[in-house]
Amino acid sequence: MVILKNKTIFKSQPIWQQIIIVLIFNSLVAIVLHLIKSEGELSNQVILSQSIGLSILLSFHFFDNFFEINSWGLFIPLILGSVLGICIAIVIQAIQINANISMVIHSLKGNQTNILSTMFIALFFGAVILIYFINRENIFLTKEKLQTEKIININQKKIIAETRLQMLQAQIEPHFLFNSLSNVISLIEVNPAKSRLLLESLTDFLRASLRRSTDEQKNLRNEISLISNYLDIMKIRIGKRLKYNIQLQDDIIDCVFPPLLLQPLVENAIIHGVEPLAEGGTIDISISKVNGKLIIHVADTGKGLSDKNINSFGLKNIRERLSSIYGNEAHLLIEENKPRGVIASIEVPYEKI
Amino acid sequence: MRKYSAIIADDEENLCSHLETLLKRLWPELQIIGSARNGAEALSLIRQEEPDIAFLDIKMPVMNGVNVAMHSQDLCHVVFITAYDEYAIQAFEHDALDYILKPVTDDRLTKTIKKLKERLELKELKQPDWSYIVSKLSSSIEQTEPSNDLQWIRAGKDDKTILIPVDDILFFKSGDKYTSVVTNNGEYLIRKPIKELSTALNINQFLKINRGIIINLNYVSSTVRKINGSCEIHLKKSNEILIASRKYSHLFKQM
Repeated sequence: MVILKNKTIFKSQPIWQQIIIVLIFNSLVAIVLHLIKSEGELSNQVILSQSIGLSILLSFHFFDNFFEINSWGLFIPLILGSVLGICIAIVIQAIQINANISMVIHSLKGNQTNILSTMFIALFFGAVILIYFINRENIFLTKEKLQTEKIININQKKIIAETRLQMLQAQIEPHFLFNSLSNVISLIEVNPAKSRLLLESLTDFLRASLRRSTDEQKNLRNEISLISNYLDIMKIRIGKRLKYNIQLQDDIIDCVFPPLLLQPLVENAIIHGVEPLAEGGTIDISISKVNGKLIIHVADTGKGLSDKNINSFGLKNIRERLSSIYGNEAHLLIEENKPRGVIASIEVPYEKI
Repeated sequence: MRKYSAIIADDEENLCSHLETLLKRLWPELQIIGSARNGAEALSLIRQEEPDIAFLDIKMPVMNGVNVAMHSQDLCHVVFITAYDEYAIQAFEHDALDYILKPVTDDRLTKTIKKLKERLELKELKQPDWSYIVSKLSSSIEQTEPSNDLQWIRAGKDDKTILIPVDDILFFKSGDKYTSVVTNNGEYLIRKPIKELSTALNINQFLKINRGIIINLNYVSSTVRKINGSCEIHLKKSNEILIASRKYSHLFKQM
């Protein structure tokens, strides 16, 4: 769980353990004081130490609940707690001897040094126990931090493994492959030339997809040829329902561009945009360089966005990939096209090969 | 013997005509009385022509094949055509439904024809359990992601509509008419009310802290508990301080 408070004191120990530790500690202090001073009754000394110790604990918890306090600020509840403890001790003694409080205070007046020394000793031991608790807490927090780091580390490894798997699956989508093969077969007899063209495009597409997994071909030229092959295949498959064009400045094609960023956007435009419409649509891809940035727009006139299908666009993967590669330097913007469809834009730093 | 009729529906024209060619060769007596390019066309064709058999592609524009079959109950026998062997579809082979895989092979189509002939002779249309089939198939047809939590928010800016990834959102705040969405780089207005958002968003990431505000926990920098039981929440990347009411501030205690 997230630690929302900057510092939470006494988090590592349950309250009953804290109370027991304080009770034992108080009793020890009382016995030591009684032995040193060797006057008065032990029971009075015990009552005094217990009230002071427990009041300090109580005021710590009170402060911890309502205020943001740092280590030094903890001395405020320490002082307040001991004053409160003395008051409680006076009240208890008053009840014990059936006197009223003013009488007890009066009787104590002659005994000021005793009260002051007890308070001083209480403060001293209180500080000792406080430092002990703070240390424990620090150790606990450090351990917890290490644990969190470990978990983050494991999660990162998991994300990397998942991304790899998704990359493999994204390369060759079974529906796409089998539908394309069906088209090749269906065209063999009726239109051998077209069938051959389709098979050639499919071969190029598969070769580029597989080669891409070796991570050597991170350039825009490859991505463009891959999506051209993809669109050629789709054009033969769905016919006049699909129109597309790619606009590209010739001099910028030899630049670094990671795989699986552009292709999913084009696939989205087909699968969620053009294919669901009976009348089909147009896909316009434009690639340009502006102020040292490579900007790619994929605009379609397809079915468009709806709350129902937003999540299935796989855009989250693209965003995650962009930020893992470029940090804050890259952007993905999705907007509605007019009058219908989607415009997806990617902006990455331009880097010539 | 009576002559049977059939229609074919597939959004890819090449596949439609190929299946027609194959059927003509393997089952010359069958009359192909029409073909459709999308689900709606297929359904009206079935209703109009009342064929004995409908070959339906599952993924089609406007209406998918399963819905077409559902709406044309007891009008005809249905054979699904699918490109990819989705696990669920095998379950129907022994039911009133049949399926063939693309690319369609002579072998497989011959088997299907044999089965269809037997069923047609029996002159009975056994109705499958549609609710069961739809529930089984919907996952592969609708293409939903494993996570159903809202990942993107549609919001208007100037005269455009853009998609904002929820990870970029600091908090949502309800207004008179709209809900404002505050992000790293600006504020947007949406129509969706807080109440609806709180159920749609990922509960591990977003927390409703009072009646009108949902915050993204990833942007919380610190919280300060107040004497009156409420809780002040400070955010990264924003100067705004939000107040979690008493009713909700216990949620921070657990963290």
